[in-house]
This record gives sequence, C-alpha cells and structure tokens, in this order.
Amino acid sequence: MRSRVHRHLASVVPELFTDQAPAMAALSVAGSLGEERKRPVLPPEFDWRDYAIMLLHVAAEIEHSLMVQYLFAAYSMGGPQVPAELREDVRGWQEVVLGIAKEEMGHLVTVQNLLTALGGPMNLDREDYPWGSDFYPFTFNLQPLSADSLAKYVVAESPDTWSGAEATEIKQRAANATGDYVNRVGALYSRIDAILKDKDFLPDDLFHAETLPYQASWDEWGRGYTRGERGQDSGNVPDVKSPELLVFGVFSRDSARKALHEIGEQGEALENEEHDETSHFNRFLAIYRALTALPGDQQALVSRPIAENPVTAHRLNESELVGYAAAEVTTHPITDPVTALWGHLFNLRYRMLLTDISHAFRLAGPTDNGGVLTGRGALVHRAFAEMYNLRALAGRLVQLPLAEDDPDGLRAGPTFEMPYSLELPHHDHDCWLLQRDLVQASQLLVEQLAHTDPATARDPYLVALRESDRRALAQIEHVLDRKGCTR
Amino acid sequence: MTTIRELRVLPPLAIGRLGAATEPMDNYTAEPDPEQPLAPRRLRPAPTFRIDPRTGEIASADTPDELRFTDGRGKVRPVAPFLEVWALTSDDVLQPLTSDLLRDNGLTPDDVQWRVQVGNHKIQRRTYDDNDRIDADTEWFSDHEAHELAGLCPNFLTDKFLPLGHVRYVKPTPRFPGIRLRFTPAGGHVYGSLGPEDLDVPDPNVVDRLYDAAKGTWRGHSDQQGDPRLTIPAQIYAGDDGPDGAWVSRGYLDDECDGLVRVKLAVADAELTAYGRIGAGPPAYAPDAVPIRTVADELDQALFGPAATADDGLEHACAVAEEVLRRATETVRLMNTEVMNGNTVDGRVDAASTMVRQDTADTGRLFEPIMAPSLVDAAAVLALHQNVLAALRSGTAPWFADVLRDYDEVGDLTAKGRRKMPALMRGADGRSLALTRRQVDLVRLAARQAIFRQAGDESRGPR
Amino acid sequence: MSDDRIDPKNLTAQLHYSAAGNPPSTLPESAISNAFPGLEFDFRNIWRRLLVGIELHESDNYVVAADPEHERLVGRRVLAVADHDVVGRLVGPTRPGAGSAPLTSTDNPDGVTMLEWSNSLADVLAHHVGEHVPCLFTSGPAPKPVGKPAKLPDPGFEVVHLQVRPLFAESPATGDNLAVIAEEMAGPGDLTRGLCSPWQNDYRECACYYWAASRPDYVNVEDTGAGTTTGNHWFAVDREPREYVLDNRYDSRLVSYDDLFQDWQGKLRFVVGGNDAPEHPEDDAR
Repeated sequence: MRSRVHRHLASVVPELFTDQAPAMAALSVAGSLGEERKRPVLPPEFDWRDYAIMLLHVAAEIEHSLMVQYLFAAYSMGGPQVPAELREDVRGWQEVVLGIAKEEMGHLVTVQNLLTALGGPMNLDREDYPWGSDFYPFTFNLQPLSADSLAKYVVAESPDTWSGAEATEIKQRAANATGDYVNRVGALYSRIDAILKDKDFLPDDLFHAETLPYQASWDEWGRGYTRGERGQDSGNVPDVKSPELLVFGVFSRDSARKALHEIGEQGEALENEEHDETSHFNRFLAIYRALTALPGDQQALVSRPIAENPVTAHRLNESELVGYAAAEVTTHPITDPVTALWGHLFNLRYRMLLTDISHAFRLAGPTDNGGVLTGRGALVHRAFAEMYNLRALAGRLVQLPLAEDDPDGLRAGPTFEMPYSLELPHHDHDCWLLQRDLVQASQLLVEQLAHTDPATARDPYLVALRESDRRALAQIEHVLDRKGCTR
Repeated sequence: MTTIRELRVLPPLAIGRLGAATEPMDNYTAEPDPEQPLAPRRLRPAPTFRIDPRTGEIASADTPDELRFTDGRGKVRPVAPFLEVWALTSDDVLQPLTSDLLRDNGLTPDDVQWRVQVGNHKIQRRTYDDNDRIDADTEWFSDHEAHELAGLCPNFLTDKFLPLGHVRYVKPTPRFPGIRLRFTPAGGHVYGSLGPEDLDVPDPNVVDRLYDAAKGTWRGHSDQQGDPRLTIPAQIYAGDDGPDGAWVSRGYLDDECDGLVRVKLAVADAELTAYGRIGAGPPAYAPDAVPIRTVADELDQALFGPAATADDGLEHACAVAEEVLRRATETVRLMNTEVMNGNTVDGRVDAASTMVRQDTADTGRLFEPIMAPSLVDAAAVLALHQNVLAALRSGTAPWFADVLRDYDEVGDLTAKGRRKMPALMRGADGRSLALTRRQVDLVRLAARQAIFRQAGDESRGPR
Repeated sequence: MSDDRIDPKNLTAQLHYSAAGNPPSTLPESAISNAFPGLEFDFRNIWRRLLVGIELHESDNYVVAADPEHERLVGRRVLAVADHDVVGRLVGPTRPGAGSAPLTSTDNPDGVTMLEWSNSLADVLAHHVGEHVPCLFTSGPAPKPVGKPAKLPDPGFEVVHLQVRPLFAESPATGDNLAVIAEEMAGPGDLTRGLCSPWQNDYRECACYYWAASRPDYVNVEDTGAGTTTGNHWFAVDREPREYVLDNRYDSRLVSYDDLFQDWQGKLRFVVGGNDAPEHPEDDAR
C-alpha cells in the first residue's frame, strides 16, 4: 500500500504503529478498533468526511486486490495435465473461485457508490506488485491455486471466531506461506461504519441522493447474478451455485451502512457465521478440504505450471525478490518476446476495463426509464466486454512460455499490471480521447504481435479483436465529432 | 453390381419461399468471413441451375455475377429448392440416384415416378370444418413437365382452385445425371371470398376470390373466446372488429402450403418408395442472418435427445457455442433493443409490442423494462455480443452458459429470470425464448471442458 | 449432384444436406422454430400425435381429439408424460420493489404456463418410443390451465398409460430412424395450419422479438454523437429521416396491412449487412 495512505492508518490499526511515537500520540484517546465502545478518533490532517473517504479508498484497494488474486487463482486451474477423474472437481472449483472474484467486483463497485454518495473521488487504483501492507490480510501475490494459496484465502476470509484443530492447521499453513495473517479488513469496515453511523461526524446532508443516477446499480452491473438469493445452479457446472453479486445504491446514511454491512457479510466481516454456506470463507474452505484430501502429487496437477507474479517489465531479466514483512514475493519477468506482448495486451485491456468503469460513473443513466440514452450503457457493456477479453487473454497467457530460452518451462499467467494513472481527464471530450488512445494502443499491440509472431496474424481471437477495436474506434470517433461536444 | 435397396429424398425437409418473379432465386452461400469474423455472414453467388422450360433439363450451372433477391421491378424471386433422390445401395452407403445407377439396375429415369401432395389447412384449423381443407395432389407422374399444384377445396367457388406453385421432375442429362425434382412455390398472393351479395364490390387486397362464402363459414368467422382449441395465439387472421370484441374474418387466404414429395421406383420385383417434405413460407428477408433457434435445432434434438451424447466431442460443443453466439449477434444487429426492452421512448410508456407488454398482458406481471434501461442501446448491446464472440474464439470456455435460460424456467418472470439469454425474444410457448435443451447442454459441455485444453492439442485450439 | 457418399446412419448429414443448386434459405437452419405461430412452419404441430390414441393441441396440453378407446380424455389436460412435467409455474413481481409471487388470474387460476412440447417431451421421445408411459391427466374436462397437484394421488387427476409414437420415419431396409418426420405425425398441410391467414398478418402483428433475423426490425443503423444509435424501422415507408418509428399498425409512416396484402413484394426490402439491399424499385441507387 502506498505510504501516503499507509501513514494515516495508525488510526485504524494502532498496534502496527506502537514504535512510532508521534503517530500514537495523535491517537492517544482512541484505543484499538476491536474495542467497540471506543469512539473513532480523527487522525491529523483530516476532518470526518475526508477521513471516511480515505478509509473507503483503502477498502476499494483491498477489494480490488482480492479480486485480482482470486481471478489469477481461478485462471490457473485447468490444463491437459489435470487427470480425467479430477476434471469435474477442478472445473467446479474454478467456477467457485471465479464466483467469489465476481462478488469482490460487486464489493469494489459498491465502495465506489459509497464514495460517490459522499462526494469523494472514486478509486479503482491499487498498488502494483510486489507490495504488501501491514493492513492487508496477506501480501499481495499472484499465485496459482494450491493448498498454500488457498490457506491464505481461507484465513483472510475467516470469521473471528474460527477455531479448532483445522483452523490451527490452516492458519499455520497460511502463516508459513505469507507470514502475517491477521484479518483486518473487517476491522476497516467496522471503523468506517462507526463513522458513518454517527451524525456528529457526518451530518445527513453529506449523503447525496442525487448521485444515484451516476452510481452503479445491480440492474446494470449484476448481469443476472442473483440479488439476495444464491441457490440457482450456475449452469456452467452442476452443483455450483451462481455467485451473488451485491451492488447497492447509496442515497442516505442508512443505505450506506446497509451496503457496507452486506458486502462485509459476504466475505470479510468479523461477525460472519461459520456455518453460512454462502460466505467466501466457507466456499474457500470447502475447496481447501477437497484439495488437501488428494494425494500430494495429484494436488500439484490441479493448476497449470504458471509463474507467480508474472510481469512484463522488460528491463528486469531476472526474478526479483521483494522482502516485505515476513513474506517474500517473487516476480517473474516474461522474457519470451511473444508472451510479453500478450502480457502487454492483457495489461492494456485491464486498463481499458478500469477506464470504462470510471468513465461510466461520469455519465448519468436515465433517471427513470423515460430518460434519453447516453453513452453510459455502452461504457458498462464495454467494461464487461473487457472482462471477457481479460478472460480470453488470461486463457492464452496460462498456456504460453514465460522464458524465451525455456519453451517447456514455466508458463506465464495474467499480468494484472497497473497503468501509470487511472485519473480521468476533466473534460468529457478528453475522456473520449483517452478511450481512443487505448483502442489505438491495442491496435498497435496486435500489429506488433503479428509482426513478432506471424502465426498470430491468423489467430482467430486477434482477428476478431482487431475487428471489434475497429468498430469501437468508429463509435468513439462519432462521439468526438459531435457538434458542441464540451471541451 | 451396385443394387438399389432403398430410396431416400434429400434434403428431408426443403423450404421454398414465395415470390412472383418469373426467375427463381439464384444459388448463394452465406458463411462467416474469416477476415471479419464479427461481421454478418458473407453472401456469395454460387453455381445456379437454370432449367430449360421447354425440355425440363438443367441448361446451365453458371455462377451469377451478383445476387439479386428481386427482379428489380417489385417482384421477389421465389426460392425454389431441388430435392434429390439418394439410394441406399448394396455397398451400404447412400449415393445419389443417377441415370447411371438406374441403368446398372436395368432401369431408366422414366421408371422413376413422383407424386406431390401439399395442403393449406389454415382455414380448417380455425373453422374446424373439413370442407375448408385446401389440398393439391399431382398424382403419379414421370414426365418432365411443370405440374401445377392446384389447391382444391370443397368450399371453393365452382372451378376455382388455389395455385400453390408447381413441381417439375428435372430431366437428367449426361452432365447432370442426378434424379431430382424442383418445387417452385406460389407467387405470394392473397385471395378472398365471395358471397352472393358482394359481386360488385372490388377488394384491392385480393388477386382473386376463391372461397364461396355461401358454402363455408370462413368469411365472417370469429374465434370464440374461451374455446380451448383455438390457435395460440388466437385471432391471427385478416379481419375487422365486430360486436363484443369479436375479430371477424375477411375470408382471406394465402398460397403457402406444406406437404410430401413422394418418389417410387420398381427395382427387380420390389417397389421402393420414399418421401421428403416441402413447405412454402415468406422470404428470408435478412439472408445473411440465421435465427437463434431453428427447425434444424428441433430436429437435431428430436433425433439425438435433449442432452449432449458421447458422440458430441468438445470441438462440436465449442462450434455450437460459437454458432449460438453468432446467431445472437445477428439477431441483436437487426433489433431495436432499446424499444424491445420496454424502455419509455419519447415519454411513451409501453411504446411498442414487446415481451414486456406480453408478460404483463398474459400474467399481470408488473410492467417494467427487462434490462436496466441505460444498457440497451443497440450499438452497445451489439458490441458486447461481438466482444463475447471474439473472446470465445480465443478457445476459452463459453462462460455465458450460466446465463442461458433453461426450458423449464420460462415461467420465471423475476428480473433475473427475464434477463436470461436469449432475452427480449419470444418462444413457442409464448414466454421468453429458451434454446433447445440440446443446444444448452452442448454449450455447457464446452464450458466445462474447454479449460483443459492446451495449444496444439487440437486443431481448433488456441495457437 | 455431387458424387458424395453418405453413411446411411449419419442422420445429421442427411438432415443438413444441401442439394446442389439450393441456397441456404432452403435449409431447416433458415427456418425459425420459436413458432408462435411461426413463419415457414408452425413446427409445434409435429408433436400433436406423439401419444397413440389421442391428439393434443399443437401448443397446449389440451386433448382435442381421441380414438374411441380414449374418447373420455377429450377436453382434459395432460400435466406430465412419463413423469416429465409439461407445465411450469408463473412467478414474478406485481408491483415495483416487491418480491416474487405466483402470477394467477381468473383465466389461469393456478398460475401455470405451458412448456413447449419440443423441450418438455424431449426425454419422452429420447427414451420411451414404443413404450406405454404413464400420463397424468385431469380427471375431467379442463378448459382453463391447470397446475400439477402438490402430491399424488389426487382425485382431480388420473394416470393413463399411452404408447409413445416414433417421430421419425423408419428405414424399410435397416429399421433405423430416417431424418424425415413420419407421415402419421404430420400430413400435408399440418406444418402450416397454425400460421396466420394470410401470413402477412404475422409480419404486421408479430414484433421482432420473435424473429429479428428473418423479419428484421431495426435497419440502416448508424452511430450518433451521443454514443448511441439511430436507424429505420424495417416497415418504414421512407428511409429518410433516419429515425425509428415505433411500430403501430395505424401509423402512416409504416407499411399497413393493406400494403402487405396488396404489394408486400414491392414494399418490403431485403436487408444485407444490416442495410437495405440496393434493389428496391424506389431506390435511385441502381
């Protein structure tokens, strides 16, 4: 986590700052967050609204990071090495983990709604890896699915009250894998709630109901994933329930608290019921149990042999160890030039996804169903289209070699490297210019791929992507040509 | 010697399409363009048989320079399919029946006999009166003349018949030795009824009056509300408002039909028979698009069952998934999704005939748009479908399997239920369209299996 | 005619066989099957005689006729065949924000909807041809839709065993299925009997939510500067201005019933690549 954020977090997790006297001095009346009756204390440089917004920024970053790591784990599963008798299970597990990732996406979007309602800037950013945070449940680390990585997710999503021999074993495994495993996400949400609920901190008029048309709604982002009733079979895999995508509009204090409460319940909240089958904790635990019941050699066959934390950073030509807290995170530069281009394409489409989401928040949807359509629908659809593109590209990257000189060695994997900035320009016209830039960059990359590896010129996906980029560009040009387009 | 054991007519179901132009529609192909896989199918002219009207032979098989669906003077060129006779031979294969194969069996093309029986029973379906059936029967023939399909009906005026097109046994030649028949459907005209009182009242809508309104009840017929035998939907005939909400028939009929093409051949001492089916419907007005769910899908499911079978490999399943998505893209391209979604348009609620209106009218469900109103601009929806199609071509799993509507979920009119795919469209049971169960199961098979692939394992896999 | 050979057991190849000279619009793939009632065929009709001894409504679970042996079944409804339900429940909200509840009415007191035959009877056809299977009927005439009882037996319902007829004709030489629908399942005129009379009514009344690919709706579509689209209704008499006229049979900007009866060939336009094919007599393009 960026230090410019991290330095303010003594207010939430003071135990991490005990050796820093000035920070603690500012918080002397606070007490740690677990002690419920203690009033939250305002750290230096803030007022309450701004502080709430800062904490929501942190929350967004965490939801985003969890989502990406879960996606990486899900994409890693499969491959021809999976024994026939395990395939049904593996496909089911992949569906479960993808479902959890989709739900994290819902959390991320809901946090943006909270930010929007409070009049704060939205935050789709996250620190690039390798990074860790004392605040974060575990060091950010893109890893293929394994018993070790699963143990981390189980512990990260576990309720406060989880104990017993199994708990001890899994916690130990997670600790061995990552070092620190204290779940502080729930603590963060509790702290935000403690601020939200108090009129003295945030008067009612700071919750802007009029921002609803700009916020994301389940109707727009839910894609039919059930609101409030998990239980239908997902269809892709028998017996795997479809995910429950929670996207809440925020128009008041109480709707804000409900949104926070619901997303907390779904995964990270401390009060989570251990026997609740719908929680992320229980879903991860079920996979962990099934996976560890397999003989060790079979466990290793569940995922493709892909590198941890693959990066395109071409100036690095060897793995880099980054020590953070108790854990070491290894990045793996992609040295195969063709694979690297696929990785760049992945990063670019990832950026396009994030750009589409924030751009969609700029445009209001129709305030009722009688409004005139805007480009918002196109941006929402484009965001989903990029999710499909990312899945397609990830499917490619998990099959491509990491290293040029080792064609049969480790595979790469989805890179998920963050862009230099996610700030949208101020003017709408310039946002569309940015959209055009990104599409053109994609076209350049596809061309470069064809140049580097002539076989890709006939790649059915790239041929199709080229065509959809062409079409997207034409639409963007239409918008840019619009008479009177504000600048 | 190759002996003929059995005859079959292929295709087993051939569709003709109405049109009044003299020259039938040219042959063409409609295939995805490999360079533009997200674009509509590419139409390209293909070798077209021209029948010499004098001899009944195929006079040429040239490829036209360009495709023309009309004669340029306001008449549509009818689609006139050929039906071929194939023989199951002693070699245990099906092969085309040709003059050579006939000769090998001591026969000539003159020994092949045809009989075509078609009907138009639309009126009878409504009046329940068997005297309202319109039927045409060529009786057996083996010449190469055009045989008119003259639809006769007991309730027609004396000497009147309904022209349902014609059939011709194409005369085999050394260059085109196959045994085939061509069905040319009717011109697509509307016909009327005549009663004793209206001899002098012209009706510009009809080209002729065939039906005797004094003999039959079709003119003036109205579907009786509450009769459970009515067509679903009911009252789908040309009519006018009558008393008490009745929809009173004008007594119109059209020249569509369907029926059997029979072929007969005496081989040695056995008489072999076979039949195929024909029908005549309106033109395919978007010839580069394929509907989402077709008669071929019905027949495929009826032949192979509702689930994917052991013979359905992953490649086939992936191909089905891609085809389903391509067809969805083609449909979206031609649909005003904003209006079909039930959005309020220019302040007008329930602005058009949509599934939203139907759901409310049929069940009392709350009237509300199906998708979020902000999402349904046609270009945005099309672009999304195209992107999903693009991603599917990467060889990864068709993850949209989980949003496909199951056949027994059509009564689920919750927001989630109505948003399943295919959305905004109506199925044969009147509710939102579901694919055939076999289509759905094949897509899901692809979704389950595709992640275990590795580049190079399969020809279609990612590179 | 090609010199191809086809494996006589390969029914897919026979079903999809494209005879020389035939364009794709002659193939079953070109004909819609969401028949309500349909365009080329009302294909629901192939299921009416699946159960020996009775004739079903082509699109409802209502018995319209029967052999003398089963005369008493006429007017009743069948709820399940070989334990496969042919009706489903209707549920949904009736006011904004409300939860989902059964959608009942005086005409549909149990809130049920018919499931189309081709899907609801698919298992029966796949597994029970030639067998006598249990069929759950109402025990008396049922003009209105009826839901399946919560448990059986129930005095309002009766199980009758009926034989399942093959849908496809049989090869006289091998006894295998052929790819052609059996004659006893559909005679001449049966596949089109339920369609509109005349068919032009279908074009005018049925909106594109049936068959956009066969009967287009939104054509000549172009992008707008707002990031959305505009285009013509296919039925628009004039293509300028390029705006979508909401479908309404009385709007003089759209083709009318009478237009279609009199001159559908002159009024409707073929659409290729989403745009009018340049061969309409009123077009100056050619």
